[in-house]
Amino acid sequence: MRKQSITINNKTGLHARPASDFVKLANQFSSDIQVTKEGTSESANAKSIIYLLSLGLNKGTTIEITAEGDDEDAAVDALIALVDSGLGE
Amino acid sequence: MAKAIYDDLVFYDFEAADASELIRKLGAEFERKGFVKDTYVDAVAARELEYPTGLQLDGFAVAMPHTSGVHVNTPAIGVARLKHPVTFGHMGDPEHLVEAELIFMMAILDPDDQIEWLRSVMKVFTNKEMMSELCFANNREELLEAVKKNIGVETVDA
Repeated sequence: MRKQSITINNKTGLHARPASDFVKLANQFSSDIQVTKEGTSESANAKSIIYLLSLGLNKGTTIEITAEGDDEDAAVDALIALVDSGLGE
Repeated sequence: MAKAIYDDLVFYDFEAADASELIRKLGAEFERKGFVKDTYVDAVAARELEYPTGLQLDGFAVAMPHTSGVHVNTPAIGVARLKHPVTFGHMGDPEHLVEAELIFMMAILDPDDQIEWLRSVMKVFTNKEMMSELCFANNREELLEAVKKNIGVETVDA
């Protein structure tokens, strides 16, 4: 298992468009990937846009990305890089 | 949080041939009532092509077309129960097409509202009981009641 935290730093948070990009990327990996909202017990399957948007991740929220599977390292690295890049904003 | 649900933005048996016509017809209602600027419809239509907003739920599909706040005057969520399903691409998976029967069109001004509204509607989308009330409303009054009861944002009568 591999996990890493990152703070959502784009201007408008994880709304529909950036969440679409996030889910699209997550689906390129075979590992199980979970996103947990820091300081809460709320977590979502990173491959499900509906559950991801249910977390309500606005700017400044820290999330923990956890992956488990054959490509867990690549999955976490790629998703962290996407969030770190400001999700296209 | 901004008020979101307005009586005169809830529609039953709304008809459109495809997603593009639906966005234009429903967007025109927002524009006519002053909720959005005259650039809103084109912006929503363009965004829908690039980032589709359809969602496949358990046995039922919805779509939530929207755009950024520069095209909006007053934040609002419009709800339309369609007479015939309309094809939308799936959010995050554009090649997956869904037959949407319920539309939540959003006019969002403040990015933090958008996150909160999305959270609210996703909670409804994943709640079977709430979705049944929305899906099985028999007329506009029942739909309006279900929307007011289940969409967890402050409501206002227009």
